[in-house]
Amino acid sequence: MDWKALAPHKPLEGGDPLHVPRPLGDGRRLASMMRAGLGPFAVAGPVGSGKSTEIATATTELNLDTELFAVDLSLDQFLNMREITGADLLWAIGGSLFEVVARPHLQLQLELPDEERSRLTGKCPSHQGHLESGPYRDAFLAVVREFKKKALSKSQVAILLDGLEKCPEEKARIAVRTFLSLRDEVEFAFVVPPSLVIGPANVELLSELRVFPIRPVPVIEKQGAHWKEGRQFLADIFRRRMGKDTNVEALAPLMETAAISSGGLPRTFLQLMRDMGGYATVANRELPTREDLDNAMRDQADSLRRLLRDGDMQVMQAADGSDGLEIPIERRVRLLTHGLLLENEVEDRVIVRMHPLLGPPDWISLYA
Amino acid sequence: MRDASGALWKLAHTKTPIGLVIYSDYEQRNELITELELLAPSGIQVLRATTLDEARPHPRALVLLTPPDEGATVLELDGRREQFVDRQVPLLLFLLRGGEGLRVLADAPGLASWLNGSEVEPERLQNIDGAAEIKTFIERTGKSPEAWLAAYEAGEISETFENILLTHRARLLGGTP
Repeated sequence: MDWKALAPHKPLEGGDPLHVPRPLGDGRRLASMMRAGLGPFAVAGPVGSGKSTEIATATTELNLDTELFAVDLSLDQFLNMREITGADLLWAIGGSLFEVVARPHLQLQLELPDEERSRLTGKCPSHQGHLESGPYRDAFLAVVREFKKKALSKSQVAILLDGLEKCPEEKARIAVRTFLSLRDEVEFAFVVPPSLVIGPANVELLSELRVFPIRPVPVIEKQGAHWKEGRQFLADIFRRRMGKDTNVEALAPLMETAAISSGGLPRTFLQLMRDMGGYATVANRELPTREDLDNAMRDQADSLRRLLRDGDMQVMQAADGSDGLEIPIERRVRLLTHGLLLENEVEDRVIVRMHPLLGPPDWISLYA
Repeated sequence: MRDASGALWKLAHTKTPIGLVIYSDYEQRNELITELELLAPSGIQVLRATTLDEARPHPRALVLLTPPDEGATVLELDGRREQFVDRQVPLLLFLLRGGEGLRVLADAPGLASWLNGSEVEPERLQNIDGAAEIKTFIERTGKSPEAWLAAYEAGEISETFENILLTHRARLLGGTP
């Protein structure tokens, strides 16, 4: 079996045949809310929950609309997110939009003043020592307005951005402010670090945008009513990525355990399945055994435990099944961001649970 | 088999773009580098690097990255990890146990999530119950570690990757090299 095909770290592009719709269709839901002009949207969730894939799905959905042109950008593909400036961001999104509209399927030649064109097609501003964002903002707006003029049927532009969650909090905040200042011209959705959407320090920011959470899918009844669909969703991802010739039936019990152990995080589920396959390969076995999965689960648990700080376990155990609001904010943000503590919506109420792999060894069977 | 060599082999052969090797001192780091050079997939170039810029142009090489400033490199890698997403062979980052790199990793959730399950801490995996492991080894191979190594040295054991791992395990279990 080609376990490498699982590629847990790789988000899917919009329209990718490997894409499996989530039980609650998050990407499509985001698209319809953007279409209705309810944004800007701050997309937040734990690492590995599928934010990037859903952003790509929403973009594909939006582009089905005849009046809307949507583009998604993974900012971290060409910027070091630890060191971005406002000018860099505007250069990145303006330059990308300029490039995308010139591609064969649109073939729009935008007429921009030379100065603005060279700004957007030149080097990254911070690499040139250009820190002022004003000129790049003008160039970005010039692209958007020129596009709307040329693409007569497409009267709206939507930009969906991934990568801001990798910024230090203050830089992400500056970036969001930059986008908010452009919202009259563009529909925005951007992935942000959870620290930007939790807690009283963010009240002002939150009054200007709408949070769109991408949570783990429920895989046990206590995580929500759609737990069976959640498990099926993870199994479908596995099936789709491994290909139709894979003997999925033989792996069904292991997949079930991996799904429960993942806490509903697709990346963790795929990592467990891939690592289980890796251990089977080391032992020269075509089909993995429960021992291989146990080894993969121990590796994951070791990785998660390495992220714990003093008192985390105690706090999480005390908060398990509650709304988690009693956990001091800084600790809560860190635990949620890492996916050590998982949030789910159960009967219209958000509750938190400790990641199942952090519990005692018999926890997984209790969960099942 | 969840031992250090098996875990390192799995790490070097898995198509994960980035993996982590946690070492306890520089001597052990050098030993691990040598071991990984032996465990690398056949036909794959092994490259030692100290910066991400050195590693980036080599997506098809097994890169063993030993940065002088581990904390700064973790932060840089977290900010640039999408640039490494299409690697065909992993970049293995070496971080000191209890060092700045691991401390910073706890503040880099995206990178930490990528690394989940792709982290190997050989020293921890080698803290084993010797007697139980020798019994398991004999049950599996039909030979004591010493007898296995003697047969290996005599060329009686074929060079499959599983046998290479078993040979390494036999050495760990006290067989004479």
